Amino acid sequence: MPVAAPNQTRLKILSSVLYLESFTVAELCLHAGLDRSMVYRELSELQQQGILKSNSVVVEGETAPAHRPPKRYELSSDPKLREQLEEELGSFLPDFEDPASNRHLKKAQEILNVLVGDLLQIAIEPLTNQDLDRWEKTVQERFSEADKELKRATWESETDFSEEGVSDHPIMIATRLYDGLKAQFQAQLRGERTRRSSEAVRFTWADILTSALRVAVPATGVLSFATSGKLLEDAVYLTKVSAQVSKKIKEQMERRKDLPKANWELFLPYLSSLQLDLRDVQSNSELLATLAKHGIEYGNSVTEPLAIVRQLASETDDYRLFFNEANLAQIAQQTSEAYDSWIHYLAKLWSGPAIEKLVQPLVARVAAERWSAEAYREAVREITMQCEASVSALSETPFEQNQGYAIELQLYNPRQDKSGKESALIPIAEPLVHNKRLYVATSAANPAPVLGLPSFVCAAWFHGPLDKRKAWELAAKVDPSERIVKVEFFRGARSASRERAEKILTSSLNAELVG
Amino acid sequence: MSDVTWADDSKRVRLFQVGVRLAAHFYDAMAKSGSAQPDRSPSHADELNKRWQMLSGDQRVVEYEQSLSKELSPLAGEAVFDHIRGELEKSFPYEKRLRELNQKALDGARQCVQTWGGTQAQKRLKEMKLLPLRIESTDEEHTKFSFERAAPKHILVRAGSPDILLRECMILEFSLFHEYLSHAFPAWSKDVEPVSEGWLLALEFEWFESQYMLDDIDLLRKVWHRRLEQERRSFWAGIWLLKRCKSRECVAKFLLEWVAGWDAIKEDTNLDLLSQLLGIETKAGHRLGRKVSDKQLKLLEILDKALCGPCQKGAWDIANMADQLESVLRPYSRR
Repeated sequence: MPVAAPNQTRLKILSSVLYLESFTVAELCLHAGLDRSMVYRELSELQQQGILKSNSVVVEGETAPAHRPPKRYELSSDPKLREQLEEELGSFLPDFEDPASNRHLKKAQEILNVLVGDLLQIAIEPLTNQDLDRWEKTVQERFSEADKELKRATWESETDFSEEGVSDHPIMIATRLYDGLKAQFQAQLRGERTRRSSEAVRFTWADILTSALRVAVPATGVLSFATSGKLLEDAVYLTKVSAQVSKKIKEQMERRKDLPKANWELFLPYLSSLQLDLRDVQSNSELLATLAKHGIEYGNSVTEPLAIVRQLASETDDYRLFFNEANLAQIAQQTSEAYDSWIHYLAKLWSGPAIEKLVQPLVARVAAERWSAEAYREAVREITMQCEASVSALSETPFEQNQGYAIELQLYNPRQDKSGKESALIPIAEPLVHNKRLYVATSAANPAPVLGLPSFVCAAWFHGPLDKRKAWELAAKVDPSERIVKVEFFRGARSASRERAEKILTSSLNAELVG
Repeated sequence: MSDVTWADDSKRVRLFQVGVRLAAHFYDAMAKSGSAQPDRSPSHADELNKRWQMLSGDQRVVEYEQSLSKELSPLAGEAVFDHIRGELEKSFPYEKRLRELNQKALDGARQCVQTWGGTQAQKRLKEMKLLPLRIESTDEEHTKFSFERAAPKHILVRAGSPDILLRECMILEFSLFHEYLSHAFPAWSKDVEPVSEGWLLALEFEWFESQYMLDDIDLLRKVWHRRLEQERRSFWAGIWLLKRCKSRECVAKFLLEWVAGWDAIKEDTNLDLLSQLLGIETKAGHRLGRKVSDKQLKLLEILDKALCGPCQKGAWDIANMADQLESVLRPYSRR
């Protein structure tokens, strides 16, 4: 046991006396960490000063064993004497607590660290509903555990948190972190639940719309009607079809037992969009274009929009309809028809005047196992600095954080824009493309829009270094995890720039050049 | 399982045997010398410990005892040491001695519960049976004691560093008593350290002080001082709490009743109450150089009511108590 200097001994004894108030010598020694022989003199002095009084621990009338401790000391209740002792000690005492010794705070901090990881690392979008519920339950339990620990840490702390000037206390910091994380968690979950419920609504609407289209406008019937050439101004027919579509949609909704009437309002945006479009229809081809638009954007079957677009394309020279036809045929797994339509589209697309001769773009493929975000960043830096060019990359697999963006797969809007309100492009409904996305990273200031299914985007990039057939075939072989990189040279760039870019792509990026 | 099992024949286990024997002879000698020289005993114990620390090498039990006898021979003429040397010449029933100590420890724990416990504690007492002892060694410095819940239930003693082993052997009865009262008695399936190593330990010290000699308590203090490291704060909070009632038995009864019915109460409620009691001690227990505020007085008033109010009836509603204390602690919180 360490030997304390005399003044330290007195301080230890005084502080123990004030803490214990009533004690035996053994208790005092244990509290002060001193030997019995070191305390007697001080105790005797304190007794003489009237600060302490002693009495036998034996209760009156009770027979005590001979070996029982003979004395219990009591601190005087006189406030003046106590104050005197406290003053003597006060100046030596630290006025803070060590938050690190608060086991509940430590535990709360550990749980909060886990929660930070839970909330930052997880991507909740891909979770099934069941997994999302499980995740929510686990995180809620952690929050509840952290809450309990913070509450206990607050109870056990010496600090009075109702007072001012405690905002930097570790318990307050942990409490703020808890509140912030909980708010973030609730917002994240609420957002995801809303997204899921609107996705569910979208999927249900796809069902309803497709069923209604099938019943009200059987593809073959419409097409034969359209080709007869006498319907273009048949207002009676248009009204009839519009009414029939609306009626069938209502029937479909009523038939759905999983769809209480209270939820019908969730479908209002889709329904009113369709009705507004139908209201503007002036001709049979506009009717077909409107139905094709809704079939592509909101439906879950490719059959009807493909048949309609094919019919419309056959009657016009519109390259946009050929592109849509090619993509819809590809979705319907009619690969050879898809290729033919794509060739038609390219022919129509490039039938304009010859364009100025520029340095041909470079296209390269990088397999997933050879891809490095760091190497790509460096290659982009070098090419843009040294080769008078911009660099873009695309993939069906997301790029690393802070690199690239996701785009929905899109087609041309089959409806002609008369009012100026109609958008030129429409997204392809998720049920048709099974939630496929394209991810693009680019250094270009105004990147060109990316259109169609991934294989069409790839084929468009490959067509340049390769002829149409080879570009088409190679695009079909691209793995979803691959990255396709394209270098486009600015006006005035020299062929040396192209050679330099080739070298960077093959050496720094481990890319395989196309063509 | 045998009532005493020697798990190995390591040096530490052999020295533990010698220590148990030496402690027995020492207490016999002290009892014989009676109260004639009460103040001499600490120095006798210190002297004996010095001689003990001179033991060296890896020897058989009998060889250690002979070495010890030799180390004590310069003290010839001192009745206590003469007695010990005389006894070391004879044979010694090590296991019988351990059995006796074990039984005494259990009897002490039972007596403590019978004296201070209420209805639930008395009921729980039936569960507290004599446990077999298993002696092993540990590489750690301090001798470790643990109540092993897995069948067959037993008390595991792992002998630590030889330097302090004699002192451990001299307070063996208290250490076993602690295992019974702090670990075997409470109705929980997993120890709650602040209670078992803090509050109940405070109660056990209180009990031992009322039953044993000053010198024994001094020894206890020396050995247990370092064991308080983890739960020092809970221990002192326990000492403070035990003094809240003038009868000094009211809080002891509450503690024994609480742990005897532990599993019947929600874990969160138990842990909340534990924190609240610790918190009240932190916030309103006399702190040096600070005056007691009205807020603190209110805390103490509610605490005393919650602790002493149900004492007569002998039944504490833990959930209600936790609610009461939560509301009285609310003014200290910002949330």
